[in-house]
Amino acid sequence: MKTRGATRNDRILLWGLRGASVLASSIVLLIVYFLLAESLPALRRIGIARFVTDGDWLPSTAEGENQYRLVPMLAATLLSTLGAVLIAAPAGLLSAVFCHFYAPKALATLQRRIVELLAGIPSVIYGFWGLVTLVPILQRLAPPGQNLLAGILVLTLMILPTIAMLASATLATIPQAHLQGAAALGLSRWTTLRGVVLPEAAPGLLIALLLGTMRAVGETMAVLMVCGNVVQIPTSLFDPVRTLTANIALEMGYATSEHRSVLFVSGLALMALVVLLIGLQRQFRRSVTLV
Amino acid sequence: MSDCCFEACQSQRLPDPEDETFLAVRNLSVHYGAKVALESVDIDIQRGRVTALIGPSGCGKTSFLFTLNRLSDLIPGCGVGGRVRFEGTEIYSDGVDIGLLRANIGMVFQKPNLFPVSIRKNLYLPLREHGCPVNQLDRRSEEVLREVGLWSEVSDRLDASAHSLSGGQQQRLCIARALTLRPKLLLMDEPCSSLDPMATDVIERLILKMRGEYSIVIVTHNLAQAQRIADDVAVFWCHDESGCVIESGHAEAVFRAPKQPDTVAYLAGQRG
Repeated sequence: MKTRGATRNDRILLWGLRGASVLASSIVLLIVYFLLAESLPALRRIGIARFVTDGDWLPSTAEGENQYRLVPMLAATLLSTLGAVLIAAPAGLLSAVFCHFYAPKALATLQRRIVELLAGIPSVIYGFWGLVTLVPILQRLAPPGQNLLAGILVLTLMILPTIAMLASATLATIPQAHLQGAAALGLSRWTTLRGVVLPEAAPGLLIALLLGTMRAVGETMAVLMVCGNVVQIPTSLFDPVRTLTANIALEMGYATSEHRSVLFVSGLALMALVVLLIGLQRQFRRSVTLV
Repeated sequence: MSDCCFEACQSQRLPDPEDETFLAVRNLSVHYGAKVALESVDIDIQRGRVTALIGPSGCGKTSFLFTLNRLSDLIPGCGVGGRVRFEGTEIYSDGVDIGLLRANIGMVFQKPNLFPVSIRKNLYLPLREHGCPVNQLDRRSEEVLREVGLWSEVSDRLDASAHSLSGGQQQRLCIARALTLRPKLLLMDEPCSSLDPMATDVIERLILKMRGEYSIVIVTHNLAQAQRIADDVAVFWCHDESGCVIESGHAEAVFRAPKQPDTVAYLAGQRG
């Protein structure tokens, strides 16, 4: 039987929870609305096609014949993310597996602490490190040193701890009973990993990859500092590039009217990319859990 | 073998094991860090018989079971002393192939712990690991499913998730999975404690059917169950927070004429 006080507290809690969830979802909706509203003038007057077909990115020419080619920036974002994920995903997953199933306890703890620390470093520090350490090394290989490869490497370092930590957290939720069951059947560690741990952890590992990827897509400061910021579709890893995020950060300060609106369009494109990633992950997870 | 423990535990001392003894345990102790969970256990397990381990909770029955297939190795801080001799091999000596040991000594846990894959894959995993030829996988799977009486229930949905089965079916599949490797000894840790009476009855009948072909050591809290299925029993008891075996022997003898006062009280439902 509930007392009056308990019922009242329940009601307060319920309304508090409702309020919080409305707030959380309305913020997302507001951001999307705001992005749409700000980019609408550009979408109407310029049209999506010109973001692809325009010859160049000349957003504020004196003659007023501006060109808004977003493809190079989109390519830079996609390529730098892809490169970083290709390196960081296997490294992060393997380090989590090593930590949980192979490493001696002391080493595993040390590794976990370091990874946590890495995950907490502000992105500007990564950019700073990239600029003073990584770029000079790359410069010796191919001047100017600020290029796509530098961006990929810095992004790799940034998302590696995210992936490793989330993967590690997922592996920690594997029931001890399943591991004992596997051991009691005399299964080797490899068979246990492949046959028991992986099917169980797959959805969580996918989330780890997703969040790592999204961090790479959205990262601004570090890539801005090391990528060189030349608007071009790279033909090699050593070409300087400018990502969508860096473009917004660089130009938002002085952009006006149409130019400003186009920057919001690129923000919208980033948002769409993230939604696409989430959708892909959902689809993929469904096929994985059915196995 | 210290005298004080002998006093405290009143446990039976057995002579050195003979070579043909199926499973011989001598002066076995288990500790978790500084806490002693079990001490000076001497017991012989006979081939082809069902041995029930009974006694109150926390007296080291499960700890004992875990030492027999060295699953205790997995528990951080767990140390094992004494000797366990399985078919003439000291299982705690160096160079023992633990994978092989665990293939010979199967285990069924308190709660069904099927892997989150299909029914078929649950059976394939141990078979493949221990070198079953690919063209034998299906035949062997069907064999063990028939042995546990699951074949007619699952033959048409072998690729369904193992977790889609009922609790009783899951536990029988766990038994089938352990049987894939044709173990000589099957350890069961309260296999019915999470099941309803109907499912429990099915498992008990299965155990009685397996008797003779397999040797079984089963932990149970259910005295009636022990009376129904056991050939031999070992009574575990706690002294000063550490467990030991106070009495063991033929089930009938122990149930009809227990020698230790604690056993008498326990069987009468007065203690434990």
